[in-house]
Amino acid sequence: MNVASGTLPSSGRDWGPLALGIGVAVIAALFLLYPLANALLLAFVKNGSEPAVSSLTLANFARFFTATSYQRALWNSIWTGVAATLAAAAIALPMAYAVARIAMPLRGLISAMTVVPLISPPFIGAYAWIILLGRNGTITQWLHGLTGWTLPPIYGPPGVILALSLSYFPYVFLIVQGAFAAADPHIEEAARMAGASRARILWTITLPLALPALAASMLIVFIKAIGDFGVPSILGGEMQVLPTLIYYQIHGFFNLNAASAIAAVNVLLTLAAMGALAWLNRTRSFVTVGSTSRAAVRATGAGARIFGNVWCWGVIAAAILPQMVIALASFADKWPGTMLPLSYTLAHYERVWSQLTGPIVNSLILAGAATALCVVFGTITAYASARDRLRVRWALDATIMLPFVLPGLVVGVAYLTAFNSGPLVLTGTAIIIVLAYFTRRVAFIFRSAATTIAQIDPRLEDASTICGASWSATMRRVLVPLAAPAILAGAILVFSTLISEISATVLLYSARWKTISISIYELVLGDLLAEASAIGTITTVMTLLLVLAASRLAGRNMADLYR
Amino acid sequence: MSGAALSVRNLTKEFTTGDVTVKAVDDVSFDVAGGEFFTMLGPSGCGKTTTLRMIAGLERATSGAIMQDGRDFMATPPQRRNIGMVFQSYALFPHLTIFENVAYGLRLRGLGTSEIERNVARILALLQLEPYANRHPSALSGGQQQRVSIARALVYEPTMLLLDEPLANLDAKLRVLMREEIRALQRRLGITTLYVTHDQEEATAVSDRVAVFNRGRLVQHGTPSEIYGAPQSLFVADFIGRANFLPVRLAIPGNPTGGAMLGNGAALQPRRCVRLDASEAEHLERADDAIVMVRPEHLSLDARAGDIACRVNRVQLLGGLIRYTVHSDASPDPVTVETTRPLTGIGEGAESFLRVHPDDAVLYHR
Amino acid sequence: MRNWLSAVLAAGSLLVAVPAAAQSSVVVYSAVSPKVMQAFVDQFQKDNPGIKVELISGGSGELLTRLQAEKAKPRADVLVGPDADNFDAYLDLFEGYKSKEDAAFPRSAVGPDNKYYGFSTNFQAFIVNTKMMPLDKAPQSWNDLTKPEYKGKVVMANPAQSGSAYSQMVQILQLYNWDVMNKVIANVTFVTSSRLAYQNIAKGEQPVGVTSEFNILASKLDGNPVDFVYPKDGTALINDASGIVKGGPNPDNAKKFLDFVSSKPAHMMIVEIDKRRSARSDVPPPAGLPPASALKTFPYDNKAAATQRKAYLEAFDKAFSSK
Repeated sequence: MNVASGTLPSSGRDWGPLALGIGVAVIAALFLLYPLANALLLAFVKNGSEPAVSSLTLANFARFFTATSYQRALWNSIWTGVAATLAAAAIALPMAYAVARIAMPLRGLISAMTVVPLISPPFIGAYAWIILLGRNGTITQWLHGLTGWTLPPIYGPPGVILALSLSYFPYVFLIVQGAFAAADPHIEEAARMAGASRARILWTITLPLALPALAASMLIVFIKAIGDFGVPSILGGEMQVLPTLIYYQIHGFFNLNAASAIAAVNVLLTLAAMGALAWLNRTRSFVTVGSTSRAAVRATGAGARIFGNVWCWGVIAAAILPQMVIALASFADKWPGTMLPLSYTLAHYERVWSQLTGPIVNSLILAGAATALCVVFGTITAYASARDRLRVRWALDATIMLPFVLPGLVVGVAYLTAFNSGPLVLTGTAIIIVLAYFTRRVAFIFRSAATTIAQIDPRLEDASTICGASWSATMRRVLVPLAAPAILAGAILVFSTLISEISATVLLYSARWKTISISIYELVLGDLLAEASAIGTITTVMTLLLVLAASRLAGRNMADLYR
Repeated sequence: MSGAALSVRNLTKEFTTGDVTVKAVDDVSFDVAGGEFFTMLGPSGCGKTTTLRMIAGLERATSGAIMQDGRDFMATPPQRRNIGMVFQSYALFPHLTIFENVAYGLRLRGLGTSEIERNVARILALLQLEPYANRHPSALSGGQQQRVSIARALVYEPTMLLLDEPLANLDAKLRVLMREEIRALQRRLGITTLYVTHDQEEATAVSDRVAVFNRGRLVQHGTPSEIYGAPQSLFVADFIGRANFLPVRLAIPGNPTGGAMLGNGAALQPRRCVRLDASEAEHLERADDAIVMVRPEHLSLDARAGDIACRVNRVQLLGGLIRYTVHSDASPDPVTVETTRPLTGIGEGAESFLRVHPDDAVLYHR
Repeated sequence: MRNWLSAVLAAGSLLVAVPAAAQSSVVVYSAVSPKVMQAFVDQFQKDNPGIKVELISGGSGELLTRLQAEKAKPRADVLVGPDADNFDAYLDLFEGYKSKEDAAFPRSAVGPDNKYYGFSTNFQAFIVNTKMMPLDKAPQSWNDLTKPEYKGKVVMANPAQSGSAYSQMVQILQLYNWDVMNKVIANVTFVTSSRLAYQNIAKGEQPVGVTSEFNILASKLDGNPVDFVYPKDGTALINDASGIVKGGPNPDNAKKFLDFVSSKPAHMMIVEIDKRRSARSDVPPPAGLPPASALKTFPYDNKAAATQRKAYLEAFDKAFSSK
């Protein structure tokens, strides 16, 4: 029927959902499940034997009961992980409150700056702490000159906890700040009218309501802390943790079985933490997203503003200190253990400039492709999960979260062994790198998209369908635009952390696909630290600019992206 | 419960973005007597909610004074003003039970456990909420949540009760029911109540006095019948109830008491004359132009003779009321006539005559 | 939809890198410093214009892991630069080839079945921060490391994570026994990276470290207040080496590259750029390093180092964990 208002699209069968569903299942099975299940399975196989039913054993796990080094590594991982998580929360919580609830200038800049620790190559940051706080460190010498007091050595647990908390607190800040900003301001006003002081409101209303977001972000920090290799390997001194133990087993013995067993224990730790989180959230099913467009009134008292500014800028200063030091080192000519360099030069930059373009382009392409894949896959699976369309939702959740939890080294080895020979050979291509990246980061997008989609009224999709839109059209025109800000925020995080990914890359890259993080690593290996610092600084600045541009493009202040 | 008296003088609130300053509330003054039910009414963006929030202390005034029983309110922070407030979104604490929600304010006042329990139980009983004491807000319906919100505001016996469009999120029938409940409660407790709404029927139905706001200014305040019967501006006339506006010309230019002439030449001598202020007067083109406002129930239709010839366009049956919409050359817009008795012989399409009762008409002039 | 799909396919094809068919190539896994390797690549490609060098750098641990994992279908042609005992531990990964340069190498620098050729000879020595500890007060021998006055003052890398540290442990065992080694383990601080074993001494974090001589030389040349002590009870002739990977994609080019890497011009580059001692008999050491004749040296037991690796490391692990 040809009415003046046009005709409905032809009513062929909508292949959209089916095609996407199959695509997702194939990708999930082939690239998420297979390599990692393969790798983890090795944990149950005796070292030296081929995987077969006859060689199944729990011997690899037995070492956790017999070898002191294993027990110590496990204990160290747990307690430094918890300590770093608590420290990160302690740093980030007041900051999140200040940015969301106190009238301070430059809030957007503060939020943007908190991304810096996340985007810098990890091992460079650890070296920076040695330069700052080591026995001959800049700060150590300065403090000693000022007060005569000598700082205790940075190696060992204190240094590790300090570096980890300053690297990962941004996760807590961004997520909790988003929760504060999105909360219904009338609730706090109601408490005010009932007679509560600001402190009372903070303690009885604001914090309890932000608890789910706080707990979720602390879980992320814990997972990252116990999976971190770079910091403990450089600052740990003699303290072993599970990731350094894995490294030891793989690169020292090529004992993949022992390494997988350790990785499996790492996963168990994470599951335990996730279980704790779920238990904590069991009675909380409330949504605090308000129905008003009025933003919360911010505190304007001088005391609050002073506290807010001092705390936020103080934290930012401490957090970007490593990057500042690296930048300093990149300009240093001679720096033999004195407080500051003796002379400066641009020579390091001149030397690395010519080698930069290839790796930068590669990093951008690989990180970009992986981010795109994460966004597509993550959004589709998030939709399926949030709309409860799958009966095996929990299996999908686990499959996606698992690789996020595993150290990069394990993922790298798993991919290498799974795709070097056999029916599907991918080594030497860019695809294997992109897939490994995708595997490690898709959980980010999945989680943030799932939360957002759950808050979008399903009736909007019904309305679109009644108007005549196919499922794909509804996704494209209704759901994706609404979920876009959250997806974009996740994509920015994914992209910027992928630029500096090293532990899986070093096992999978081919000469054609050398990334910027490999360039830095190879310079560090060759002892050319000043040049490594130069590339590191360039990478940090470039990524920061990209992040700012992306959030500006989305038309929002950085601070609002994480609501 | 006591009823405190409120006094607002020259209250102004300005918002500045960039180099543009907007007056959300512009030099508003009014008094509320102790125990009075006072409603601030107006379209969205008129400044009524901002005024309420300044009285609550949630917004800071740019200038002006707010006094309660002679005491300067503005020096007191909101949490010490001892006011109860009900929000449009209910704003219940989602992580607390209904009991804890209501007890929140009492706990802050240092009451003992048994006293708290007693007071909460009493107010819950008053609002028929006892069965829900241990549930969480998400388990309750909108109407129940609203009642919890009221209970929480009243339990600590505040000096004033402020309500910000409390019924806007409820369905029509529930709205009518709840407004009567609120009214009855207020009467019973005798508490000074400030109510904000955009629904004029709601305002006139329950209030002792109504203040009408437009674009940040308080344009008129008085009892519902004063507002309805003697609106001091075209805006108020139009906003409250239904109004017909007939363009007229003054018989003697400059002298409103000299009578007016309708478009078809018929003469009219409205008993009441109101001078328009500059912003409304500028719509009148010529020096002797004026407007006559007459309510639908003060017009009658006569098949044989009257002041204005007209043609009946539409007849609507609205329960006990019959509304005739007619067209005439006395006014560019259709005119509405309402009556409780059906008029025989006057159906759609019929030619008829309008009769204007001068005692009920109001002449608006510059 | 169609436009979008074709855009995705176009982008995807960018990623499936098909190597340039016109040139032939050689894939090199390099554990040596980028400066030297870059010089090698430039020279080799100049001498062999039709061959493109594809370079993968990494620590020896990572490179060996790649080789192991890629065993079913090797991706690499030549492995350059890890310690010789890495080759000895995984001999089945490498291809024997009698290089054109064979005659210039002492037999101690050539692997069984010519599976590898020496790259540089690296004596292990003590690096001492002379500001923190005068040279004569520093440990003078491996045995001195057990002395109580040096407890907590000496840094070594963990043998499982550092090739040079592993060779230090093997030397001590060759000269002495597990009693002495256990005492050393108890006395010394072990760090996870060999770099920290000398960088931290240069920075003044610790007074003494045990590391390869070229690291000490480089640090000294950088202006750091450090100096050498070669252990008086002997320092072993340890080589790092290069070898051809068995089953690699470009066997002919692999041989060419290995010959080049083992040639005199290449070894002169090692001496000049990397400040390391060449493994060839006919190339003098870099200025600043004493000639081998001036030191007490002994042959390194590559075989034991290779075959006993697991046992040694486990014994180390046990002693280290009970500290």
